[in-house]
Amino acid sequence: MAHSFVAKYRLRAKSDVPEIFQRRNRDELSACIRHRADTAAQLTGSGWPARVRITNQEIADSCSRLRFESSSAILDRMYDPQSILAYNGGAVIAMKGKNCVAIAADRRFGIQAQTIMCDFQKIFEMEPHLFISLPGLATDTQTVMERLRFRLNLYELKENRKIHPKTFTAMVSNLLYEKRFGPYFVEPIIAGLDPVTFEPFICNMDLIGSRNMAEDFVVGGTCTEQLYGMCESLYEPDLEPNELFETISQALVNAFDRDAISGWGAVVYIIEKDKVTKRTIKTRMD
Amino acid sequence: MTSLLAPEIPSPGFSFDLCQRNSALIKKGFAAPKAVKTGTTIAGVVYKDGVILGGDTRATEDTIVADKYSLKIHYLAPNMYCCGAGTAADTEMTTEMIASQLELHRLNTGRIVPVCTANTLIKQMLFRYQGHIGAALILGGFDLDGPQLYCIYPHGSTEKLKYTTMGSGSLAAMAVFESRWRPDLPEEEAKQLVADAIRAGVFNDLASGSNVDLCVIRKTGVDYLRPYDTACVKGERQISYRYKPGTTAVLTKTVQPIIVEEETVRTIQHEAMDTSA
Repeated sequence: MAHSFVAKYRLRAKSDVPEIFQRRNRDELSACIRHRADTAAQLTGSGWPARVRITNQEIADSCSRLRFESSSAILDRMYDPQSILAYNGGAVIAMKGKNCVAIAADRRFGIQAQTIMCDFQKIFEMEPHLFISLPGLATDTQTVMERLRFRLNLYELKENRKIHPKTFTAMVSNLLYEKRFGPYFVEPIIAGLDPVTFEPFICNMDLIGSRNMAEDFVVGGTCTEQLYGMCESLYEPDLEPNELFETISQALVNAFDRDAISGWGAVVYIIEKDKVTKRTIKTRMD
Repeated sequence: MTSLLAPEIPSPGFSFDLCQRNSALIKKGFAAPKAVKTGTTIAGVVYKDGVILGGDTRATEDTIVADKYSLKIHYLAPNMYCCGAGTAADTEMTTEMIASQLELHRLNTGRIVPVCTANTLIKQMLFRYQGHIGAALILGGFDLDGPQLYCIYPHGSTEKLKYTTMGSGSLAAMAVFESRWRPDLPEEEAKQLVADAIRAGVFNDLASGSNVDLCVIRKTGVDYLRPYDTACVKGERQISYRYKPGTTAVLTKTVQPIIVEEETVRTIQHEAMDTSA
């Protein structure tokens, strides 16, 4: 009984703390539990007690240790080897406005630090009112886009109607989760308007398809920290299409100027009920 | 053999096509990216006439807050909900799959699905994947046997309990339960207790945050309170940082008008269900 109790805490401690820190904390806690169990067993004289209580102080101590150790993990992350998602580089934002949505991306295609081209397509039109961007490993960007287009064509032939952005998001999510144990290295961003009500819709996902349907903005790519920072300070709800264009462009440009592997030109789409405006904008080319 | 007329039917379940390529990339020294974790505080209690489930609303990707208002109390059946901690996609997809199986079971049997059925379905699925599906769940519901609360670990072990917590903030939340839970709590007090447990997680665990969601399940129905409480209210921005129109230099501009050329509405006549087979 006490053995399974220790095992339980082992699992709980594992959830979010980096591997190297887990062991110490876990061992401390299980040592504490074992000690309590021993004492209690001696007292009752009948083997393991049914349930070992830990005092709140012990739990609080353990929590604060966890907190301290997870913040020191931030420093370690800077020395991580480069992620596969950062092989080609890129930055993408989608934002909601008043009866409109915007999606913007940089145009660089590179292999690590070497820039190959400055007019690379990262935003794809799936429907007149539905756009998807797939920042991440460029080979997967294109493969996933083509697979999605295939599934979307079949959907439209079967259903004989335009897809709802939410349904399309489920389609993307299912495609990615099918590869749960060998994923595509893309973190999709979807922006569009409902085909019936023209409600704005934006969404982003992780590489195995966990959906996040935001009310304001979503970001993706290699400089998400900078993008989140810019968006949090510039974003306002209910912007008109031209105001939304300025906001999203400045958020994107100023964020990727602090990232070496994205930038080199940018493209911004403003999606409205009756038109889609595509603008390429002037950026630093270094 | 694949042909245009007889395309190969894709095999169901997970696809492992990319595993070889991905492990080759990892061997070359590129770190595998991390998926979104819910890094959570979730909790559940049995009270006088039902079950209350609670959860925070933060989802994290490493140290970044990926979602400030994520939904962690998932729908399973009209009488059953499930809190999820661990890898966000896993908890979401697992609960969705189980929910559809439960609905089919309900249609086949024509009864209220008992909570233990959901528990068995989930634990059998998780055990099959040997812990690789990182879903730590709290399952709560009300059936003919009254209120039920289960705690399900990613490897497929389960416990039937009166009060339980899960996720990275589980220790903080359990501290609240251990000191204040008692049998047959009245509803309002039980709601306060669960909310306090979640708040303990929100304030003491870095990976939990934002709001407190609650779900009250009793015989008469379900109250889904989202958000029940906002743990920290964000300050109002004092000035606007809006850029003047024309700040961004535009190189090219193309406008694609979307013109609806024709609209046909075809009404479909009601057709009786085919029950011959």
